[in-house]
Amino acid sequence: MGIERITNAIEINNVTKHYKDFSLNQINFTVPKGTIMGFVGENGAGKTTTIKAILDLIHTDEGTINVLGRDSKNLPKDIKAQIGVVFDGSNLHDNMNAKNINFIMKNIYPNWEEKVFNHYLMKLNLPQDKIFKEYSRGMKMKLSIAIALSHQSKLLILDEATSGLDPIIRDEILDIFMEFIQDENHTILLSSHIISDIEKIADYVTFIHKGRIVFSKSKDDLIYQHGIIRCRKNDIRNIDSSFVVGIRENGFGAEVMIHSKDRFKRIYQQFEVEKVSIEEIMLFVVRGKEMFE
Amino acid sequence: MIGLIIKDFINLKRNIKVLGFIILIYGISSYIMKDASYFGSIFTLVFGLLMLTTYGYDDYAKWDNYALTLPINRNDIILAKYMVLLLLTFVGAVINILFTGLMSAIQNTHMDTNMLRDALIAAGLGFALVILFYSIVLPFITKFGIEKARIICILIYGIFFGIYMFFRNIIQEGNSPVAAKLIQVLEIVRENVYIILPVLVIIAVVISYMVSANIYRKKEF
Repeated sequence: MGIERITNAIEINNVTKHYKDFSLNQINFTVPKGTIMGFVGENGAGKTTTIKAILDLIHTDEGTINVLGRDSKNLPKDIKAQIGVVFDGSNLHDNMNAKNINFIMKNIYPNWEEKVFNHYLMKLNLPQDKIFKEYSRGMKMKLSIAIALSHQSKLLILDEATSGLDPIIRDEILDIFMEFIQDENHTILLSSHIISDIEKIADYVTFIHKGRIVFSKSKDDLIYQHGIIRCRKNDIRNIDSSFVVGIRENGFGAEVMIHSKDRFKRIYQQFEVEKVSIEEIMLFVVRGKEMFE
Repeated sequence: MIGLIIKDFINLKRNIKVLGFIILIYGISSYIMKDASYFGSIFTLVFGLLMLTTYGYDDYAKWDNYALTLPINRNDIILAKYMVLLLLTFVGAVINILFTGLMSAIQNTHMDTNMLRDALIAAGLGFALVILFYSIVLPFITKFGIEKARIICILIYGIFFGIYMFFRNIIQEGNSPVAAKLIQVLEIVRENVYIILPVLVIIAVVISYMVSANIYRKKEF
């Protein structure tokens, strides 16, 4: 199936993987083609494990995964050649330089574009002759991204690609992703625990917590449908609990996050509903709920 | 897959200086001792050892995680390693032969055809032993990773050496029928070495590759 015909770049159905001390439970979400999916969750929530499952680096216990319209198990080489992957560490040997990488990749990727690679090296200020041992963390990440973009990739899978970088480099990298996504056949799955990056560029957000997907929705819908009200602790009792996502109590009163904002506003006109950020939604879902229970 | 082989050789580039140094040291020692044959096989062994270094580099960089996202499959990664092993050991054996030739030229030793034949057989034997050794070791490295497999390497090396010493003792002690039989077998091996060695090496490498590939297919990263 050609990339033009598929609607989802990645489809994950009921994926389960058990470890001794951690499990991925019934993971379900899809990454629509032509979009940026932000994959968020705290450290250890299961982001990397899910990405490893997508890349067939681990064997899942249950469920299926489709990548670019094909079963992710033993993806054919021509499909793999269209996927660019960037991990948290650079995974490249310390005593190599960018020239060496170009030579190696030329002999691995059938669709390797030397010119494009050199263009990115220039653009990202990456010296060709310096060995990676002498590269900073930011330079290593930029190099990995340059590799991922130099073989006509249709899908980028990035695991914490912006973590640990300073805001200027992060911004630079996000710009490159925005440029990449201009082509409607291009898709990005970007995992991060830096929510501000996700808020800046993602179309969809999937939130994983303790190995379970809490939600996977369009970013605009999430922001539009949720709201925060500030009220006295006594007022909480009067709110229908089916609206409540989470509650935070403090000395002066309480903050309540609600969903279905429009319906809530019609019923409870006495409350002022404030806008929320993705980060607040995550915090209320995870921490607010515990308090509410 | 060629990219993977290139990757290992680029990584090993740093070791060239050390190798040059080793060749020099052994060259001087051979010159002083007036015997090159003793040291020749060292090179095959040293080049073989570089194989472990390539695993060390890959392990340190966590390369395999990344390599598996490239358009190569799991079998390619294993196959590339076996190709690197054969290439490295072959280069080692060639240097061995060149070294022996060079040393005898420097020392003005007259080399007749018999001596040349023996030198070639010694080089071939060194090559075969290194390949046989790694055919046993590589599946362990594939299974446990280079760090844990180091101990196993030493163990297997010890077993090899033990077997060698055992047979050597029997032969040296002399007159027993076992020794006679053994010498007879060794003679047959010596005479048919051109057939036995390649066949043995090919069978060992193929079986070892199949075992390693099977282990690697089930591995998680």
